[in-house]
Amino acid sequence: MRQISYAQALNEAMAEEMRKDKNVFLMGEDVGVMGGWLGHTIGLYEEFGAERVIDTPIAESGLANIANGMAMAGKRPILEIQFGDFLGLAFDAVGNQGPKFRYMSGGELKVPAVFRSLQGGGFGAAAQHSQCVEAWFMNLPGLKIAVPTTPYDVKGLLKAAVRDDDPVLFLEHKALLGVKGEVPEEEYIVPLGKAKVVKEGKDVTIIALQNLVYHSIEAAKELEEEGISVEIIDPRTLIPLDSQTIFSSVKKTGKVVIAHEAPKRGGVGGEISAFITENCFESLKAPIKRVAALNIPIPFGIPEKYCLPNKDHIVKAVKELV
Amino acid sequence: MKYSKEQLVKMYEQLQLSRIFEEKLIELVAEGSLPGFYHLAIGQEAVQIGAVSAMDDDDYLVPTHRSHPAVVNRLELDKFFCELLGRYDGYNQGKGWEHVSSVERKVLPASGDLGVGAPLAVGYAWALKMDKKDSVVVCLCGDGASSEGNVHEAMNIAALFKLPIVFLIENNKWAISTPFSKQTAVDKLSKRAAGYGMKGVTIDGNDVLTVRATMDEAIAKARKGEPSVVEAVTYRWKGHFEGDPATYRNADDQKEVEEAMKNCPIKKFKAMLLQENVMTPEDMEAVDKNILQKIEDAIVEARKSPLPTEKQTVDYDAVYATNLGGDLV
Ligand SMILES: Cc1ncc(C[n+]2csc(CCOP(=O)(O)OP(=O)(O)O)c2C)c(N)n1
Repeated sequence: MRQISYAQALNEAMAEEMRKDKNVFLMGEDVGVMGGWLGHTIGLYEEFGAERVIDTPIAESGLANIANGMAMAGKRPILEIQFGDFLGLAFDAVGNQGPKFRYMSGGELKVPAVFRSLQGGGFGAAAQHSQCVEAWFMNLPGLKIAVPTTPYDVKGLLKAAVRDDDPVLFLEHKALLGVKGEVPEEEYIVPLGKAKVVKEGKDVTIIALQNLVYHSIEAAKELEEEGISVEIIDPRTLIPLDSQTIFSSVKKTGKVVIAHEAPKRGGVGGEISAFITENCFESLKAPIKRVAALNIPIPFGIPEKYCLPNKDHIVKAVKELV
Repeated sequence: MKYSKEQLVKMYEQLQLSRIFEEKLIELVAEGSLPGFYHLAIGQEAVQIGAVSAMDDDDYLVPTHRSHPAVVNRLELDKFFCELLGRYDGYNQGKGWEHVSSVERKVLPASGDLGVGAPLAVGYAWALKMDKKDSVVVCLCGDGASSEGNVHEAMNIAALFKLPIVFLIENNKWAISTPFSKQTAVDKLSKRAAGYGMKGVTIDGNDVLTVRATMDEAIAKARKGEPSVVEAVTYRWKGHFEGDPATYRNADDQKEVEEAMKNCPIKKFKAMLLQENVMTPEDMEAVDKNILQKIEDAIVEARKSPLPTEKQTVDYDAVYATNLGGDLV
């Protein structure tokens, strides 16, 4: 099968959905003529023109609410917020406006908007350009959240998000943009709410998000050499969360490590851990471990590695369990 | 006179519906029938009636928390009362309440967060433009809310993309306890429009015909892709919400309130209609009686409608349009 990058897969998803439905369009800062600040929207402006690939002024809050308004009017906007960190400026629009209007209108309105943003470290870009922000948005009824890891998933999930009738926060990881993987030429969708068993194993379950899935795969190789078999699960979406896939793995292994790049305190690891404890307490043979960033603003440059979780942290956590 | 007898009588009816409706709300709040807060526009009716009377049925309204005059004149009374009383037969199954919306009547929901209406309205206007529709969005906004960043971002983008929208700022001189003088250093909010490359005017919001004529023109321009800002100056007679004793108003402020009440927009319009022989006192009385009757009938009907059940309230199909099941909770 052909191999393409995460960035190309993302680009293809948008292009295919725009070809399919004239109500779909992309807007955001520098997404048009420039082709995206990291080149991930290249070619879209040329194909669809300035009215469907819209370069906008710099106004995250206003734009996200504008996307809400457009979606209520029957459009299916994809709004790019350049860095996940800037979602703070659009927090109210993404979390508190769009997700509420269906319920508050008694089901009459819907808000099929996709808020795409590039999150995560790996660029040494310091505390306000490097964070993983999914946990900021976990407490908001009405919103869906996708955290794609592979080129295959970013394409399939984005297509599902565009077709979904609810607001979806779609958080891509910027360190993964260049990662290549198998992506079929044929049309496909990855449904929201279905986790992936990345690798089967029997001793410990690692539930990992995005970049940490790759770290987990490396960790698994090392652990396997020492005779420890790990199962890796990528939830792919956090709302809805595919608890069934997670629970059946936990029932098999009885031991769990949850790994994500956002800080541990208040991170989604706590939520997933609580969920497992509430539902599979009898199966647990040890306390759940979390591997996550330190509670330190991400430093500029090389030292970010002292604060972000990696393969070694995962190996250590697994070994503490077995 | 620029407007026909029919148009003038209609404006009278709209003004009186606003006033009588809100007077009825005061009664309902007093008897404990209405939960939540009610922000009354009594004394400010000319602003919103000038606007709604200038709008076509195909134009869209984005209201605020103080928009009963505009909303009650766009919606059906029965279903609106059902909504306010939290009944399942309301426009939004009783879930919308003062944030009522209606696709059919082209009323978008008033967000609970000030200033958000402006970018929502801009998004709507943009979608209308993309679809080459002829409709215009009229976005209401208070003087207080106009300080929000969202309003700035929305106005900038509306002007840049030439969207079919009119921002109508209803300056009632107060934002809860904060007088206009403590909100901004600018004397006229319409001046801000120039900063976005839009036209802006400040008008007497207590003269319904001035508002109407200004909105006629602003809406016609917006339809051609020329958005603008209209600041209509009026005065908040009452507390911020029904029941607010407004103790923050000092003696000078109280004098202002009394002056404003003397300058009642409905009284003024009535005097003009009588003087110009558009209506007789008997005509007016008949209109008023009819409105009151309709309101009372609507309340009786609304009370027959059931409150939402627990099942209708805790309903994930109502939260998510695409309910994927699984753990959305
Ligand atoms: C974002 C936000 N901040 C604060 C409030 C609380 N609040 C509700 S109404 C109001 C005053 C609004 O003043 P203005 O916009 O002038 O409208 P008016 O009430 O005078 O009609 C405030 C502060 C809110 N609802 N939303």
